[in-house]
Amino acid sequence: MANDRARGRRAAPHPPRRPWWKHPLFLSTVTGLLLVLAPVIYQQLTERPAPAALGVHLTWPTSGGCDLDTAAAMPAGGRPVRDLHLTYDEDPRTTAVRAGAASWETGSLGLTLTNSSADPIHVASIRPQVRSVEPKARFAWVLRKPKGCGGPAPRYLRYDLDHDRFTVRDGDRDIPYGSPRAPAIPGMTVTRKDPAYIYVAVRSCAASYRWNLTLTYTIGNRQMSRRIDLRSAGGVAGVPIYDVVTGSTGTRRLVDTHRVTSAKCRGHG
Amino acid sequence: MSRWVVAAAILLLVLAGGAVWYVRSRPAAGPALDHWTYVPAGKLAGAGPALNPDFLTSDGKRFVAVGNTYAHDTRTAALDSWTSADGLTWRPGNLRRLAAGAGSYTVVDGLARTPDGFVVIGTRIAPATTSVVAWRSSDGLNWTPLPLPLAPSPTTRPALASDGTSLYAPTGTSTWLKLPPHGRPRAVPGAVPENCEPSYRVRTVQPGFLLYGWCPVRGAHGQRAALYTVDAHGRVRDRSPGLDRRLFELLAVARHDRTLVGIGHRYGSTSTGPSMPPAQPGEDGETRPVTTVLTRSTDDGATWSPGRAVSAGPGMPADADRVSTFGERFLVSGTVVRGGAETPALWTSADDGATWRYHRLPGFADNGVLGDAAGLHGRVVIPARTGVLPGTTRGLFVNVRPR
Repeated sequence: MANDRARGRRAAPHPPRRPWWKHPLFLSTVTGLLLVLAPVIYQQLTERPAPAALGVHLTWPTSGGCDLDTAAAMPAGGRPVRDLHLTYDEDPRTTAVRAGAASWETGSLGLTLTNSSADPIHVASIRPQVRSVEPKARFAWVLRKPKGCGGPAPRYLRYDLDHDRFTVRDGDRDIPYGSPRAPAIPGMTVTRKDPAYIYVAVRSCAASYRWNLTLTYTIGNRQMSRRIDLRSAGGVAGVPIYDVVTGSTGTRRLVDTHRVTSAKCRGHG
Repeated sequence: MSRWVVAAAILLLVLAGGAVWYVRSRPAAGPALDHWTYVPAGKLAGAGPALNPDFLTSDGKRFVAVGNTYAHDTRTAALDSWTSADGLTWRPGNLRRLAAGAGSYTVVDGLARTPDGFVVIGTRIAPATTSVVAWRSSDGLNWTPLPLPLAPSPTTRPALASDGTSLYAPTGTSTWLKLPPHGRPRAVPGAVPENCEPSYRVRTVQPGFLLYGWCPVRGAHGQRAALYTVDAHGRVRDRSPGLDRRLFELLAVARHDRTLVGIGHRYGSTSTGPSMPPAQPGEDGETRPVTTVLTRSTDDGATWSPGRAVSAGPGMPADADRVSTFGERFLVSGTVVRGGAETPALWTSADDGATWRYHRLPGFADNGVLGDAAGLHGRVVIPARTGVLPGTTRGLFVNVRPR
């Protein structure tokens, strides 16, 4: 009996003890973790810094709701003024320009420059250039916004299209851009955390202009440029003037002023 | 090591992971602030004068609003109160009748919650005199006069603050008037240095006594941001030293437990975020750029995070001027310029102010602004207003998904 028990024990010995790190439960857990973490680790190992990219956010032809000087004019054949969808989400003059209108006599261009990469972007120059002039252009309507909080539109740079004169504001004087006497423009280095802001007051009193603004900038030792196409006009007599006002129901309303433009520019700019 | 030890370790890991997941994914206490709908004033229900709140609050049972409406016929401002159980149907109270007098009218200055209801304070303007007036109500509908021994100040408007038990009214000097729930009003020392007092704003629409604004100092900018907290025992704590030193004023502060969130202004564009556009030299004499920033404290105001610019995205600076709390959720309101138009904007946080989400709201008027936010049973309403003194309410933003 005792021999049988001894034989039995020998016949069914314990299997060799498996190390804990070979245990199926441990191995399956580690495998699962690796499967989950592998894409993350791969992404971390292969990720490269994004190439520096200049982001340009444009506001045109007005930089803010308090600006009452700016108007917009639609070239003949463009969208009828009654077809504009006016909301409080957008300035009506911006709505008109998005529909194909030009700034009328006065425009305010606001540029916000952003940088999505870690490398700084240095804006080397800002240059406007007239591409075409049409002295006898025809326009269908002019849209104004006569009521608001008022106040001057921001202007630091100024571009007079009629005289192709680009200047920098210095106190109460305008000094030609790029001249040694011109003050430095602040914020011309754009980093991820510090965008730059550029405002250009635009004046057009004698014709219809197609023009562009070219930003030249450097990233490291590479020089790049970005061009923005714009349209401005003024000095055309006889164009019907419409105003945008707030109606009694609280929505924007279009008012035919029954007046027309004169060939002489408003205000002094 | 036995298999049981390994199994126990794995089980512990799984349990710990589950706990972390639960804590991170647990919805924050308070109403959902993810979706907003604009309800024009014409779509709000109710009889009587149209809702036009300068101040709005809730006691957990009802919304209560008070405000002035300009009367074109008399060229004076009528003072009304309204209550609502759902934020969409509003019922006027009897305040207009009490506030009107022969040849006089009342401009509302504050609304505070008390343990047993609400108190409104205002300035009665008559042809020859001005006086401070107040009313109290348990339900926001029926108001009764509350005599206050307060004289109008030539430099400051009356204000009310509640610490949850007593009411306090600054008297324009270094003393305050304390109104216990039972007993007579009595003068107590002012809570802040005397030279700061005219510049302080008092949080009036919710219990919790926060004084914020700025104090004059010698130095580069001539002023510094300042914050004082007053607890239910009347203890005053100066929480200014821990604030970001670049802040020159605090516009609004809200609290949830030991977390405080503040909105302020600082000069300059710095490395902590996008800045406001530089002011234009020569236009108005101001040449320093100003940035609206958000700052947070998790230790009851002892230390604060650096001011982080309020923005609607890269290069999209924004203005904000109000902050509210709803449980663990914070709500900041302000405006953003898009397409040349100023439109209302909200920033919400579901994690006690640690991270924020920007909400673009539809424009509702030229130069429209957002008023006090108030919440009741998960519903949060924010008046959409234009104009000042008295303003006009164009509608309400409500935290429901647009249809």
